[in-house]
Amino acid sequence: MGEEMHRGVGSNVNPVSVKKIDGGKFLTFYLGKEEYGIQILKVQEIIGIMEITPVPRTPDFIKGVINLRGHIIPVIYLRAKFGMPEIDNTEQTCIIVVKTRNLIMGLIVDRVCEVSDIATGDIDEAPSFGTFVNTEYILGIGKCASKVKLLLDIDRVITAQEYDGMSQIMESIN
Amino acid sequence: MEILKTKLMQLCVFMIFFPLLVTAAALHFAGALNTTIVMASLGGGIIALAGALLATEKMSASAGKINASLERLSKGEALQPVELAKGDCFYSLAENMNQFNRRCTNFKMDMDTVSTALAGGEFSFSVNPNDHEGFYRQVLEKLVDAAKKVGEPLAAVNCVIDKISKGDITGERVSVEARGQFLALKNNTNSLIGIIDNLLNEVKTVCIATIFEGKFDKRANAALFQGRWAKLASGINDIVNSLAMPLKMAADYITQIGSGRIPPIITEEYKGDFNIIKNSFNNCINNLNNLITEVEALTHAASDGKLKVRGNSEKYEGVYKEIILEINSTLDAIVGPLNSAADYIAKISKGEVSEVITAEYKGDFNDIKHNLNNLITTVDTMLNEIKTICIAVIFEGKLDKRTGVSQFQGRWAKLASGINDIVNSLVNPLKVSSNYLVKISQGEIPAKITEEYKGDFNEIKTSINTCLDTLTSLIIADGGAALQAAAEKDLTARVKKNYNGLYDKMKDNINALIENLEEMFKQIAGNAENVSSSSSQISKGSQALAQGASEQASALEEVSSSLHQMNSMAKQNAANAKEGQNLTISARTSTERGVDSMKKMSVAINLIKDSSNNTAKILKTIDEIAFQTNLLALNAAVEAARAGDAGKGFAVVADEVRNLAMRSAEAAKNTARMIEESVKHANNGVHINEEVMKNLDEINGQVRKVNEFMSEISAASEQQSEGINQINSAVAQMNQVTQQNAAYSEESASASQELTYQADQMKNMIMQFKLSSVKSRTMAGGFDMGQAPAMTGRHQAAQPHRKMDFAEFENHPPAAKGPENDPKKVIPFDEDSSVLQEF
Repeated sequence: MGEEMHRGVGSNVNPVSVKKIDGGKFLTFYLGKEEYGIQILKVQEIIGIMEITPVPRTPDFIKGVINLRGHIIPVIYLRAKFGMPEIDNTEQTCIIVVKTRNLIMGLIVDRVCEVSDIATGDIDEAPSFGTFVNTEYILGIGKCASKVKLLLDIDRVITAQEYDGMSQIMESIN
Repeated sequence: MEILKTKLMQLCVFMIFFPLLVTAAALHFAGALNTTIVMASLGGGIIALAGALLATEKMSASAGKINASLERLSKGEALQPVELAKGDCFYSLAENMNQFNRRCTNFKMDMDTVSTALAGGEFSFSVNPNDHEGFYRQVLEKLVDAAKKVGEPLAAVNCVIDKISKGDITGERVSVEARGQFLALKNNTNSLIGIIDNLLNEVKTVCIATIFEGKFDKRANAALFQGRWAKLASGINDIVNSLAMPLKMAADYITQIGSGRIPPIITEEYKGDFNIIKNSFNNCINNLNNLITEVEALTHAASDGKLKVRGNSEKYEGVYKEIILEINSTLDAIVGPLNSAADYIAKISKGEVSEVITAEYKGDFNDIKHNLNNLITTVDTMLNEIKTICIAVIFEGKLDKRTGVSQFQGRWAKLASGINDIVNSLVNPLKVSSNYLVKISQGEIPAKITEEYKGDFNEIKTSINTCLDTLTSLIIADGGAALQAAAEKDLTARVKKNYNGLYDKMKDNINALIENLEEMFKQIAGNAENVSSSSSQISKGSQALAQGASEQASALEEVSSSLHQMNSMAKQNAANAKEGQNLTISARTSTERGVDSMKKMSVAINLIKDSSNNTAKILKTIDEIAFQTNLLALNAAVEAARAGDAGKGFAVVADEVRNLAMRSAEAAKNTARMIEESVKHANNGVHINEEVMKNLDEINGQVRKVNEFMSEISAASEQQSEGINQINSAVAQMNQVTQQNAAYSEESASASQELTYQADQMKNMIMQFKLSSVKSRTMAGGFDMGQAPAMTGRHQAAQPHRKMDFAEFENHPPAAKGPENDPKKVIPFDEDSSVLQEF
C-alpha cells in the first residue's frame, strides 16, 4: 500500500488531473494554528521532546540527532521546513518518529492532536496555486466538521536530494 | 741606726762562735786520742796473757771460758765475769780479769760522762778522779785540768761578747789568763770591744749633737776606724748631712715666714719624704700668699666702705678656711649693727619711728644701739605727746590737756613747753566763747562781752555780741511779742523787724505760721457749714441704701437656688462622662481583640495560600501525567492501526484512554484555574485584612482620644461642680454682706445726724478766735464775721444757724458741693471696703 501511494504521489505531477486519495487513519498535529495529518502507517511512535544533539554543517531544518533507545535518528524541525518562525519548546512539543524510504527520522511538532479517521470522500486534492508554489508534499486536504487538515506526504516533505544528504550523514554517524 | 745595730750583732755572734767551734773540734780530737792510747795498752797486756795461756797444753774448760771472755775483750765488747772454782788453777787469773773488767767499766763510764759533757760544750764535769786508781786517776785528773784551762777563757770571752750583744759595752776587757789560740781570741775580742766602744761613742756624740742639741755641724771622726768601720762612720756622717741640708733650708724658710717675709717657692729637687716636705712648704707658701691677698682685698673693700664684700672660704681648707670664716663673721659683726643703725636713722628721718632695737650687740655697738634706742624713745615720746595733745585739744575738745615737759631734756623740753604755750593761747578765748554758748544753750541771754582780744579772737568776740543782739530781738522783743499775742488767740500780730539769713527766715516762718493758722481757722469755719449739710444728705442716702440692700438679698437667694440646680446637673454630667469613659475603655479592649483576631486571620489566609500553591504543584504533575497518558494512547492507537483489523478493539481502548487523559488534563487545568482564583482571593483577603486592621487601629486611636476627652469632661464637670459650690458659698457670703450693708447704712444715717451736730459745735469754737477781716475765697458767704462776736452763747445759736445755712446751701449748689451729689460717695466707702476685705 505504501508503494502504491508513493507511486500515486509521484505520478501526480499535473495539478489539473484529479486523483482520489484513499481515506484511512491519520495522526494529526499542530504547527501554529494549522492542523496537519500524517498517514498513521508512516508513524513509528510519538515521544515527548528530549535533548537533541546538533550536528554541524547540516541544513537549518535539521535540528540534530537523538538517541532513540540505542538508535541515532535525525530530527527535522518542521517549522523551519515550512518557512515558519522558530519558537521555544513548550510542554506539548513532541517528536513524531516516522519511517520514510527506509530512513527513520523525527519530526518536531508544536502539539500532537489525535488519531483521526478520515473517509476517502472527505479528502480533497491539494489546490493548485500555480507553478510558483510547490504543493507536491501535500497529499490532500481532509475536511472534518468545518475544520481543514493538511494531509502531508511525508515522503515528499524531504526531497530526494535532502534524503540522500541525510542518509549520508546518518551513515557517517553510524 | 737599726740597720747598723743588726749588722753589729751579726758581727758579734760570728766572732763568738768561730773560736768556740775551733775549740770544740780540738777537744774532741784530743779525747779520742787518749781513749785510743788506753785501749792500746790494755790490748797489749791481754795479748801477753793469752800467749801464756796458749802455751799451756792442757787447756781446761776454764781456760776456754777465759779465752772466750778475752775474745770478746779483743773485739771491744764488755767482758763477762768468769766464775771459777777456788781450786782451779786459773782462779786467780779469772779473779784478776774480773777485777780488771770492773775497773775498765767504771773508767769507761766516767769517760763517757766527760765526752758527753765536752760534746755538749760543758767544760766542768761531775767526775771525781779519786774514784779511780793508778793511771786511770792520772788520766782523769789531766782531763779535768785541761777542760778547766779551755773552759775559763772561753767563758770570759763568752761573757764579754754576751754583754756586747746585750748592748752593755762598758769598755771592760777580757782579763782572764789564756795561752795560744785562746790568747789570740782574748786579744781579738778585746780590740773588737774597743772598736765598738769607740764607734758607739762617736755615733752617740753625733746623735746627741744632731738630734738633742740641734748641732748639725757635728760629724763622726772616720779616721779613728779602719775598713768597713770607717765606711760606717762616714755613712753616719752622710746621713747627718742629708738630714741637715733640707732641715736647714726648712728652718730658714720657717724663719722667713715667721718674720713675716713670704719666701719664693722652693724650686730645688729633693727625694722621697724631703720632696713631700718641699711640696708641703710650697703649698704652705701658696696658701699664705692667697690668704694674704684675700685679707688685703677684704681690708681694701672695708676701707672703701664696701661692707658687703666677704672672703671666699671655699678656696681654703682647714685653719685657712677658719681664718677667712672668722674674718667674714667679724665683718658680719661689724656690718650688722652699722646697717641696722643706718636703717633706723633712715626710718626716723622718714618719720617712721619704729620699735626699739632688740638685737644684742657687743661693746661699742651696744653703746650705738643704746643711743639709737634713746633717740627713738625720745622721738617716740615726743610724737606721742604731740599726738595726745592734738587729739585731746582738737578732736576730743579737752582743752586742759598739756604736755609733760619734765619728761624731756634740753631743747626737747623747750619744744614741749612751746607746744603748751600754743595750746594756752588758743584755749582762753575758746573758753570764754564756750561759757557764753553754754549760757545761750541754757536759755539765758547774757550781757555782751566787754574784754579786749586781739586779731581773730576779737572777731569772735564781736560775732558773739552780734549774735546776742539778734537773739534778744528775735526771742524777746519782736518775735516773742507776736507769738505771745497768738498764744492769747490774737492772730493779727506779726514780727516786724528785719533780720539776716536764717533769722529772717525764722521771722518769715513765724509770720507764715500765724497767717496759716488764721487762714485755716477761716476755712474750718466754712467747711463746718458744708459738713453739716453733707451729713444730712448722707443720712437720706443711707436709708435708700438700706432698702436696696434688702432687695439685693432676696435676689441673691434666687441666685443661690439656681446654683444648687446647676451643681446637681454638673454632677450628673461628671457621672455620665465617667460612664462614657468606662464604655470607651471596653470599646478599646474590643478593638484590640479585633486587631488580634485580624492578625490571626491574616496568618490563616497565608496558610491557605501556601496550601493552594502546593495543590497547584500537584496539578501540574497531574497535567504532565495526562500529557504522557495522551502520548501513550496515541502510540497505542498507532500500534493498533498497524495491527489492522486485529487492533481495532485495542484502538477503541486507546481512544478511550486518550479521552480520559484529555479529560483529566482538562480537569487539572480547571482546578488550577480555580486554585489560582482562590489564591487571588486569598491575596485580596490579606489586603482587606490589612485594611481592616488599619481601620481597627484608627478606631482604637480614636476610642483612646474619646476616652481622654471623656476623662477631661469628667474632670471639668467635677471642677465645675466644685466651682459652683464655691460660687454658692460666695453668694451666701454676699447675702450676709448685703444684710450687714443694710444694717450699716441705717447706722450711717444716724451717724450723719450726729455729724451735723458736731459741725455746728466746731463752727462756734472757731468764732472765739480774733481773725483779720480779710475776705477768704473759701467763705461761701454764709459766714458773717460781723456776727462772730455776737455768738458767744454757743449751743443756743447752733440749731438756728444750721438750718439757715442748709437752706442757703440748697440755693447755691455749685460752690463747694459738686461731689456730694454722687450717690456712690454718699455711702461710707470705708466700711464697705472693710466688709469686702473680710469677704
